[in-house]
Amino acid sequence: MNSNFKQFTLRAAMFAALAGFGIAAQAVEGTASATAGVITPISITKAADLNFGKFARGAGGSVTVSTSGARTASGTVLSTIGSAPTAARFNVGGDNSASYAITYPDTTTITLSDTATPTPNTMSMALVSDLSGAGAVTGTVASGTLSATGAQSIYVGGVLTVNAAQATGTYTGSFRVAVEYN
Amino acid sequence: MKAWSPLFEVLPRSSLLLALAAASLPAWAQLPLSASATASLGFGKFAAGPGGAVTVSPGGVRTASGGVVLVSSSTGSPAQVNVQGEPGSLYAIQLPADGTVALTSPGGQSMAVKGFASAPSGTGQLGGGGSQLVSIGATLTVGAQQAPGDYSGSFQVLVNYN
Repeated sequence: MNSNFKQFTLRAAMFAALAGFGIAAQAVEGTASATAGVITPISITKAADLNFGKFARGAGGSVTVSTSGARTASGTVLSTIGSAPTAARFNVGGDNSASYAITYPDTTTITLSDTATPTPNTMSMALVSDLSGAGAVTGTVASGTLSATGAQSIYVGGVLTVNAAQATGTYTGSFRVAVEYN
Repeated sequence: MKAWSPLFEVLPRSSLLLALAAASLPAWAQLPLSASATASLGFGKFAAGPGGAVTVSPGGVRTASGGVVLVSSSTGSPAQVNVQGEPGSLYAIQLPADGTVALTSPGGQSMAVKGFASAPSGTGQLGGGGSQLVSIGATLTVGAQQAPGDYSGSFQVLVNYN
């Protein structure tokens, strides 16, 4: 009887030892969260072209179209006949309230040319831009922030340099505006 | 009977003492491990475009592949898990297997998270203060024209004494 009791005690102790090891070796789990934000790709479309309208070269000088489309002359003589001056407008779309960078890949000095051969006549134009169409006549805007619904417009005017001997004709050119999330 | 009985009684007692010593060692001398997240894994903002992947390394470096365009004003951040236990002890880190974790949007779309990586990797060692911070990165798979929205999810990290 006595020896049987001892053996029982011993077995109980061994079981406790195994249980002790079991607790210490138990794996512990930690939970972490992960997040990501997928945003609408940014887009830009031309809604209006920049148009300087008609003018006479006069003594030479410049014609300026502001970002609101208002036209002023220096040294040149503006014509009220023919196409009306307009500022260019670009509509930008993308993620709500996102900020973005605006760049001008063709630099901010653009060349307008006529169709003379073999050498076209040219005029150079400096870009002017803002985000409000408020009538800026100098400088370009380099960044914007989309509205709460993910839209904004960029207004572009220009300052066209006219030579005193500028050939008569229709001059055209193009420029690009690029946008990128920042 | 009385000739061998004392001897028989000595043996079980010594065995009993050994058994108790063995039982008490792991339970009292080694603190239990715990793991708690202190920072979530952030992939930041990006435009999906034709799809691809966004990877955040355990060091927090975010890279895109395929047609995914990262928004530079937002950054990636690794998850951080604080592991605590017996100072100086080694432990194993087990990260989620590929195909077990996904982020979902309120609209029900999802993106799979794979390639979990951690620093330290595989095995960690608790410092003298009994804790170690484990940084975890992963790769997010982005579908073509993945629906815009805020995606979130969770994953589990297992730690175990070696």
